[in-house]
Amino acid sequence: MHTLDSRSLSVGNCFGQKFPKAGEVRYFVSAGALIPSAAKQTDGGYVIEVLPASKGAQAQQYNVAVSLKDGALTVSPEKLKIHAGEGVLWHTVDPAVAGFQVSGAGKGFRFDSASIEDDAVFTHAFGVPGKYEWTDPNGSGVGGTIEVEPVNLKRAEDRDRWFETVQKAGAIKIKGKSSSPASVKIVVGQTVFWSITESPGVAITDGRLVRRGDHDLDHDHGKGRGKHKKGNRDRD
Amino acid sequence: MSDIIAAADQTAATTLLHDAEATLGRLSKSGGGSLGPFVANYSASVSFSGGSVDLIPPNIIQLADCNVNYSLNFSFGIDLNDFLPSFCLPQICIFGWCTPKICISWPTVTIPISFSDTLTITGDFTVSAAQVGPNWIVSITIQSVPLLQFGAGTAALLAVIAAAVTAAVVWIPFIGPFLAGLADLVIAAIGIAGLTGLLGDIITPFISGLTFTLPPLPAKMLVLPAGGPTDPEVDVTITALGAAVQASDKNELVLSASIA
Amino acid sequence: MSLTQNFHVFAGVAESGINTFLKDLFTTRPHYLNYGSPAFVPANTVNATSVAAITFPGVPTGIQFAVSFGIPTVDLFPPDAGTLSPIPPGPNQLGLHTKVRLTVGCFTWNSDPGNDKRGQMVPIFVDLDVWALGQIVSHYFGPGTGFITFQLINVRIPGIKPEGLEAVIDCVIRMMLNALLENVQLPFHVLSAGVFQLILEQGPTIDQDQVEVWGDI
Repeated sequence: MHTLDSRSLSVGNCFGQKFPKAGEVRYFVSAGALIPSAAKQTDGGYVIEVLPASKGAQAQQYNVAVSLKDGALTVSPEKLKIHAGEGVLWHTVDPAVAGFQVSGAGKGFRFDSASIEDDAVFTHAFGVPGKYEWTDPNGSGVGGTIEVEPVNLKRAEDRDRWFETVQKAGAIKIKGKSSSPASVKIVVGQTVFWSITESPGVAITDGRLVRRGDHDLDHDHGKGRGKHKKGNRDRD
Repeated sequence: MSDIIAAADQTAATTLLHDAEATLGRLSKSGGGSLGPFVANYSASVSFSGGSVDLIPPNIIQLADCNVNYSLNFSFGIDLNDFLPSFCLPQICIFGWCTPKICISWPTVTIPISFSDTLTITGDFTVSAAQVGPNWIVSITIQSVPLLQFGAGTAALLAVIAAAVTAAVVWIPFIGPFLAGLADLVIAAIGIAGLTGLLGDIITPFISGLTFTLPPLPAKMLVLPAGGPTDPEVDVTITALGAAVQASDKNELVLSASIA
Repeated sequence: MSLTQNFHVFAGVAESGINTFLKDLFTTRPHYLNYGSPAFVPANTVNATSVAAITFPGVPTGIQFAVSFGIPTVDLFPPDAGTLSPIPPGPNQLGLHTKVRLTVGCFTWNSDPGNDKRGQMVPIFVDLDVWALGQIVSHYFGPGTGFITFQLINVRIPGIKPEGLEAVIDCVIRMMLNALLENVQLPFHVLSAGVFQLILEQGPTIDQDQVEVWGDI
């Protein structure tokens, strides 16, 4: 639980996606990879109605909370009506949610927290000190290091200082197949944001979760989105 | 007058009792009890060793400084929300996105403890003999539960609990900054009284009614084994057996048997 | 005075215990008491031991005989009040009393030359009161192992005349009794009622109507 893995979102993780076009987008929240993919499913899941952009209005962000109810993952709110250019951010505050993946598709548009492509964000609040080598199991080659330092709150001042610190985030930009900065240093409790644009479909994952050779394997994540072979992206 | 008399002085009685302690072996039990505000489930085993014997007529064997060697495995659950302040990840905005404020719900964790120590007891035992099935049994039974002095073991166990608490929660996200005082808070909640209360609840049943037995004496005692078709086994039958501490110029544990 | 005295353990078997043991032993294995040549005891059984007849040239089938002892009783020092023994036990001694029946197969045969010797055997017997004086012999092999047994040093069968005949009979009975008493082995573990394994340091001695040993465990 609480692992650095956009394929398995839990408390302390958020995944946000902006919706560029008007139209209906059907999405699914699942504990693992969605088979068949969202693009092939015409019913079930949840629907986001994306209206044309309203000129002059400030883009809104809509938060969707995921929780476990009667053993099944549910979202709140279930229905969303947004405007093109606005974003939806999924998260959970339910410790019972061991991990979830969000994937959806509309006409000419798709998104997936396990294969993040464009105009999206992934956040992770680091709760345990250590050195994290993050990588993309889908094989884009992006990666880096997050160094999380421990905090020892001996005095009240320490606590105040720490509360101030955790309100600041680390930031990493992934554009295409490159990312920067290569390393980020934070303290326990701080959050790191990964902003992803123009990507071939990445996941942000703790390197320890990725088996050696995973990048070369044509497994669930690799199929259709991981290998970045031309033509694969629309195979689903 | 008895047919057979066997007597042991204090030194020999000490040896007999130490042998009886070894024969008793390791006693085990499991159950539940209070550990301060917590509920602990435990399994425990106890063995006895050592101690010096004082024979006190008419019928008391005082065993002083007998070692009670105990091993405990117990666990208790703590709801960390009772000890840690609430903590929320604040809302943070960057890249045009804002994370929601997410409050962390601390989990309930189970703290497993393994602990072994030795305490000493001094108690008065009575000696008696009775036929149980085919054997005569000489029993040396404690009269009452003496005061259990856990002493230094208590401090050692507190340290073990503190270490176990830290080890059990260190993996929990975001707990690190709050970890320093957690073990102290848990230990304070348990308190010395809570600890000795649990130890007393666990150890007392082993000592209440504690009975050492000398090697069983077959009522039908073999004298000569069978030696062939014309030499059947020869036995004598112990028809009565008495055990007492007798006073003379030196006190003795005396067993007297009648045979037929 | 303590039982253990200057030792750590004491074990004692009273005269009554010894006699109970003897009764149990000889009741279980009566062949230790009963002997006879083939005319009386054709084969060894639990009840009697077969021995060869006394060969004597010219006596057909040899001299057939039987010896049968009663279960002996011992009298440990000091002697029982009113004992009739002509040789009561002194310090560290035991007296032994039993009865013995001596039986001879009195054979009368036809001595006509050329014919097989045929005849008939008539058993005749005498019952004698036997008094003996003995001591304890210890066979100690190590802690808790070994046994004690009895050895006779004198036997008296009063009332036999002439004195020379009594001496002969006394000697024969002493030899027989000593031989059969070798089978009487009282293990050390019985002495201590099996409570402990005795390391023998003193004894066995006979005193106060009991066999006593001292030692350690």
